[in-house]
Amino acid sequence: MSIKILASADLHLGKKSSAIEEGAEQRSTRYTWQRMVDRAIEHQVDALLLAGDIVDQDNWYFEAIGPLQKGFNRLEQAGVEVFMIAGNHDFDVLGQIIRHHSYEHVHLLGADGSWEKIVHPLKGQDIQFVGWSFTQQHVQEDPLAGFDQLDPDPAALTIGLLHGDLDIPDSLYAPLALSHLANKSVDAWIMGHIHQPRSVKKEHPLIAYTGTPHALNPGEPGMHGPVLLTVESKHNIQAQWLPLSPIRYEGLEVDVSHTQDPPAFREVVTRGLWESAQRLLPELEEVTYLVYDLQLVGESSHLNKIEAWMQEVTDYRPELSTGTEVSIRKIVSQIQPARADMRDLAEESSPAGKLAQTILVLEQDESNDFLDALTEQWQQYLNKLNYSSTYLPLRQHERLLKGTREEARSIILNESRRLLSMLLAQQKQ
Amino acid sequence: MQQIPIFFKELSIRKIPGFPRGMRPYRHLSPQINIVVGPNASGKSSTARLIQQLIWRRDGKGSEAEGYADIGGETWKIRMDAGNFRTQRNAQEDTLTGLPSPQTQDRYMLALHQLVGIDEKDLAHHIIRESIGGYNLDAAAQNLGYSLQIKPKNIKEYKDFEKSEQDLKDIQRQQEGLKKKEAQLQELYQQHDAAKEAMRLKDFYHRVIEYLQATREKEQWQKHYDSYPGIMEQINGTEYTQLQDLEQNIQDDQNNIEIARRELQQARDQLSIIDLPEDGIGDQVLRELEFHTGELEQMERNLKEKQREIEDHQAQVEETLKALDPSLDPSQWEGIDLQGVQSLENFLLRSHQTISQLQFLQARIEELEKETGNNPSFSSDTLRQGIRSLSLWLQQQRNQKGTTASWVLVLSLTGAGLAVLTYLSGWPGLLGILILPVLYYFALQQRPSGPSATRRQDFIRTGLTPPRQWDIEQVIQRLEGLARELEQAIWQEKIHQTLEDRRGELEEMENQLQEIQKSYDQWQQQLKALPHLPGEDTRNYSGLYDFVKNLNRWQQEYTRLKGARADHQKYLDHYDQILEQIHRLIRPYHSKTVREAAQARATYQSLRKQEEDRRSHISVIKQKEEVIEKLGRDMTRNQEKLRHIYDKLGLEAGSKERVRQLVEQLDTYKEVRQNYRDAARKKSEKEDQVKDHSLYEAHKRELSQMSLDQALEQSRYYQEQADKKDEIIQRISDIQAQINQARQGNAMEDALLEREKAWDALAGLYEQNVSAMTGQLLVNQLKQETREHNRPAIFTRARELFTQITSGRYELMLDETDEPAFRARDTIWREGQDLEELSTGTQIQLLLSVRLAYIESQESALKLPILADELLANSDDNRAQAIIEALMEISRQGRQVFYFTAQKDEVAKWKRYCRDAAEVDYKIMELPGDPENPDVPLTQPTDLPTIRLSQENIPDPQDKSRQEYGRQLQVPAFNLLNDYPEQLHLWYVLDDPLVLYRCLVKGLRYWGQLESFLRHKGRVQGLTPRDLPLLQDKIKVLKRLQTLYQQGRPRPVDRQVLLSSGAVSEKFIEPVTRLLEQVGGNPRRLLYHLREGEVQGFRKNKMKDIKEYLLKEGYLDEQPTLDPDEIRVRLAALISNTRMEDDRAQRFIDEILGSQKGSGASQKPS
Repeated sequence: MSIKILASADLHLGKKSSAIEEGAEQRSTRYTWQRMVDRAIEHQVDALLLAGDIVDQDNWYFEAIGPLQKGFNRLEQAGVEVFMIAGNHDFDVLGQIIRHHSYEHVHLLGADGSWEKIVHPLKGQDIQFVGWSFTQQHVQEDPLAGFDQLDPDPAALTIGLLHGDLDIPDSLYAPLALSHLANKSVDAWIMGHIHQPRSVKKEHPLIAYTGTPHALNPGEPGMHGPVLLTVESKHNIQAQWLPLSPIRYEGLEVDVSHTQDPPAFREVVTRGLWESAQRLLPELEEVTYLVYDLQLVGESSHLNKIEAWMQEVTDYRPELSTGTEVSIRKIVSQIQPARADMRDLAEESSPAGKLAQTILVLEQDESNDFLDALTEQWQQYLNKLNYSSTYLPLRQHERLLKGTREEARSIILNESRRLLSMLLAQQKQ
Repeated sequence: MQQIPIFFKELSIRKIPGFPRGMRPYRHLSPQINIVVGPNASGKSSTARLIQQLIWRRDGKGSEAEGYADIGGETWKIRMDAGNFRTQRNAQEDTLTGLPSPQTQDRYMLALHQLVGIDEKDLAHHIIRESIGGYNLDAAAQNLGYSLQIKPKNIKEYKDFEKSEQDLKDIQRQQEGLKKKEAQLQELYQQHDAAKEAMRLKDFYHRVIEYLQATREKEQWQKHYDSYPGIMEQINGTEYTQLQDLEQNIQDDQNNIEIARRELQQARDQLSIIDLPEDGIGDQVLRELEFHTGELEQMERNLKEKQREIEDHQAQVEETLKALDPSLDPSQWEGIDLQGVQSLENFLLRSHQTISQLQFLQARIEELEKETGNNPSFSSDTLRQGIRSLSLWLQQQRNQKGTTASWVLVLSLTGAGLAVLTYLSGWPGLLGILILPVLYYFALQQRPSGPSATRRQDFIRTGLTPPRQWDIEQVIQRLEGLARELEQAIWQEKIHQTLEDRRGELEEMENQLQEIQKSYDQWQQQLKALPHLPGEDTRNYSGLYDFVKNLNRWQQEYTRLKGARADHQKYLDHYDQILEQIHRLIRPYHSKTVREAAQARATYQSLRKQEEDRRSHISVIKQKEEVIEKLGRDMTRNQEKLRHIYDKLGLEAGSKERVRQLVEQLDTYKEVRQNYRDAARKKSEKEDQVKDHSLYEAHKRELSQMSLDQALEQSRYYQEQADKKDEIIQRISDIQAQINQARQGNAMEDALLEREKAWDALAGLYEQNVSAMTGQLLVNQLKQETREHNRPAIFTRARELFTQITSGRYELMLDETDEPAFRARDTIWREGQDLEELSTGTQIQLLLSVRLAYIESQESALKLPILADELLANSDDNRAQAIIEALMEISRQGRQVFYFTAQKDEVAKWKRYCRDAAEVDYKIMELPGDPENPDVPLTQPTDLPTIRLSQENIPDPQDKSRQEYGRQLQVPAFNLLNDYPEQLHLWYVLDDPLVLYRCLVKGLRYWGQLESFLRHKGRVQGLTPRDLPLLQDKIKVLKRLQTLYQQGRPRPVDRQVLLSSGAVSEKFIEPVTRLLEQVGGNPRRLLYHLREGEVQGFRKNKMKDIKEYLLKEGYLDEQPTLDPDEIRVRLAALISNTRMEDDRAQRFIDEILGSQKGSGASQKPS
């Protein structure tokens, strides 16, 4: 009989998803933790693996601990073993919990910063669980360097838990090399740290970032949930993601070319949104809130009006057959002025002509003096902006633009389009 | 680079919005100045728009036209068909290149209001704007919110962030504090354990204290207890009372014995008086005596009763005897027994019956004897023989003569006679009837067998009287007579027989009567009295009945009398037997003889009384003797008890006072003893409790030496230690509660989320700031760019042009800075002037110069025509001259100029100036007022048609209502799908038929005409320019109605549209056009039928192309149509913002919608 294991990471207990209406309990990661425990019990899994960052470092005192312990207690009653490692967020929390509550069924691997192996029988078969935990927030060394001292039994079915960045050598978070990972005598690596679910390697050894099971912000779009591992043998381990996150963020491009008036615009945008949501429907059974960031693309001769039209769309909040409430968080316009005009217009020596030239140059990834000068100015002004006290909090949390050439060109392109639309609109008045 | 000018030579307009049937072609256009003159709505603006469409090959939806242009000496043909363009150079397909951006096309349109509406003070800005193509960068920047300013910290987003950060820190601080408290828990648990130990020690010493206190108490009570004598233990407290009671009892016993002895003697004395044997009278004797006494009393009552009964029966017997026969002596009459009475009754009944029967027979015989008359002469047999002989005779007669009717009659009569005979004589007669058919048979079958004389003799031998004659008739008559005689003879014979029978019976009865008489005599003798038998009168029978009944009663009474007498005697005998029994019983005790029941009763009662008394005395004697004995025993026992008490207390007998004293001390003694025992038990318990305590073993050594005070001291100490436990528990509990609350709470989660939101908002602000900054930098950069690159060249050229246009009079002076300043230099006066000081004409010339300079700067290869619209309108001569000179100068620069005007005086001015400038080629073209009449060729002004300022064939409304007048005018319908508001007939717009008439007379039939007329200050009586806004409101409503109605509705297409789509090739154009005609031009239905494959071979991708084209061109609209309610709401919203009253608007809408019914086939006005 196959062994069933539920695996997850980066739950960040103590946090809530943004861009969701007030008061919704589903916002909190504790909700997903409870659902994950429910699933483990419902699926009668043999073990639950947690690959670090289960608790968020900003809220590790109490609010995360209560639900976590409650979940451990329920898993204990259901006879589900828990194997976990600490990540950069919860390196100093998980150990405390284990120490204070001597759980027999919860095993924190490598709590002292060295590799640890626990051989535990599941369905009559001895499984080697190996893991390494963060002991401080930043670890710049590759933890795999000490793996060989562990000397695991190569004949035994081995599952590894690890938290860190893959193939980012200068990462502060346990930089790992895929080639090293694949060479260890481990049959499946359950990885934490990267919030987007990612199957790094499907063939033996299986390597997968489970991703956060609970989408916290629009930067974590798409399906999220724990991974159900079905272990048949050392070389036959299947991973299946269970869409469990009650929140789902999605980005959507909507081509609004040919929309001539607000009703047509609204129709195109809402239809695009609805069709997108319908496509996702099979994965939305557990999703309470589906939040969209829309990017409007295409060409339009009504660029100057579309920003006003966009305001009329944000109230679109349909409910799907799964009970999922769909909402629009943000609409960004990347709409270009009607393409056919651009070449002709670029011939003009007027500001509109210059803008058209600039747009074409930027789109062709080229440059000219005008653009170079503008980019330089932009970088200078951005620097001033970044160092203003108003944006100090953003600077402290590295949420400001860095002032790269790419950033400059992207923003200049967007503003060129907006400005050009406005100028062209003047001609029609 | 030298630009090549485009000169339009011809324009052919076949269809254009507002002119569905096209316009007259423009031919032989001038390469320099073309003046197009025509009233409003005559197609001037349409022509201008068309020229631009042909040049830039844009739009042109719904238009079909072509133009021929000269470009560099080559003829170019530009064809426009419903948005599709084809260009040919010298009849070869070619593409026209080198055109400036379509965005610049508006620059070629010069409108007076644009030029003269500019504030003079703002002229410089306009010049600058013109120099960069008319774009207003500052306005755009302002609209887009561009700025280099960094958002200040006091902005909401930053404040929100600060607050969220502060809230988060507060919560963090709280939780850190709680975390520290959590760390203190361990120490608190230890303190808690110490307090718990102190609690145990306190409890231990508390027990020690109790033990020591109990020990002390026990010792005190023991001392008290020991102070009492040992004898106290023997005293139960009742001793003194017992002594008193016993002494009293002994005295009582003595008294009672004395009384009993006296009563005993008294009883013995009374017994001796009673005269009865010693053993008295036995109960059996008394019972028997009582029984027999009662029996005797009963017997006396029976005898009296029986005696009364005998007397009653005696009286009844006497009375019944009298009823039988008063003469009878009762003493002598013995009567009969009951059986005899029954026999007598039977006898009397039989006698009566016999006598009655005898009398009946006698009466019957008398009646029969009376009926027997004369005996008949002949017997019935003789008569029968006679009848037979006569019958045979008649038969023979018939046999001889045959059957005749008379024979039949004979037979019939014979039959009838026999019937009568049968009735009278019974069955023999019936035989006659049976014989009759035989006779008849014989009569029919037999032949006469002997002589009838034989039969006659047979008859005569009977002795009967023969018939008078022996013929048939007489014979028959005789037969009838014989039949009657036979009947009589038979009857008499029957009576005689009955009489004989009765006489026999009578004789027998008389014999029986004689027997009865004998029996009667016997009874007479026996009873000595008997009533006579009834004789002839049988009704005397009742006397016999009464006799028997009374006899029966007597017999019964007599029997009872005898019975009663026998019973009486029997009672008397028994009475005597009872007396004997009584005597036998009383004889031993009583000497007197008893004779009657009363005496017996008195004797019995006396004996019983004596016996009872005797027995009572004996009982008393016995009882008293027993009492005396018992009292004696009691007294002895009490005396023994008395002695025992004294002995028990070890006192001498009679020490009663000492006993009293000891008993009085007993309660106190018992209390002391109980207290002592309780104290001892308590001490033991407390000792056990101390020993049971878990700390005993550890402290038992010190306990042996420990005083109570020391123990108290220890207890107090540990109590103080233990009292801290609750406080510690409370502290632990509080901390735990706070921790649990924090674990279940989400304050930190919320705060983190709030900070996240605040961050996002701040980031959003940052993005806006970056965007605004970027935009502003872009604007600045563009300004600089245009300033550096555009402006110098354009201004240089503008200065040249300005000088040329003003014929060298003025020069433009430019002070180049960020915001350039302009001045003009008058070359004549040689002095500079501010722009405001220039005349408006010169200002316009200056603006035209800049505009032209910009246009030229944008033109790379081709020089395009300038289109000017009524630039001279309301201009003074100087300004008109300035403008005309400017345009002429422009034309001289090699640029074709189109000048559109509705003003004849402008044409005159042009003519005047053009005449003076011989080198300028110009052409004046006049457009007709009626766009539906395009066939008039354009000619030189000499061929201008006569302009009729008034129409003569317009009917006067007189006093017609508006509706009536409308019908008379046959107002054309307005098609909401296809028509333009300018094509709306004025009937819809004007309410007053008279005003409408005046407009029509002036040639103003459609809204477009009137609108232009009024805009140009035209006057119609009853209608002024002030009315224009109200009328415009109506048109606004119409436009909105059209827009709303058209949404989602297809518009009809024609063959040309299909061709223009480019999706229908020549191969398919015919079948598709036919299909289109079948579906009435409906594009939606056309597509449906195409999809259904109704045009074979037509490809699906082409259908898609058609659809896309139709969608793009507005022939198809995929939006849902608006429901009437939605249209109404939106329309009402618009109307609410106009000057129109609701009912007026309603009527207008009704009329427009009402006209739709006829809009499919538009009615033409008369």
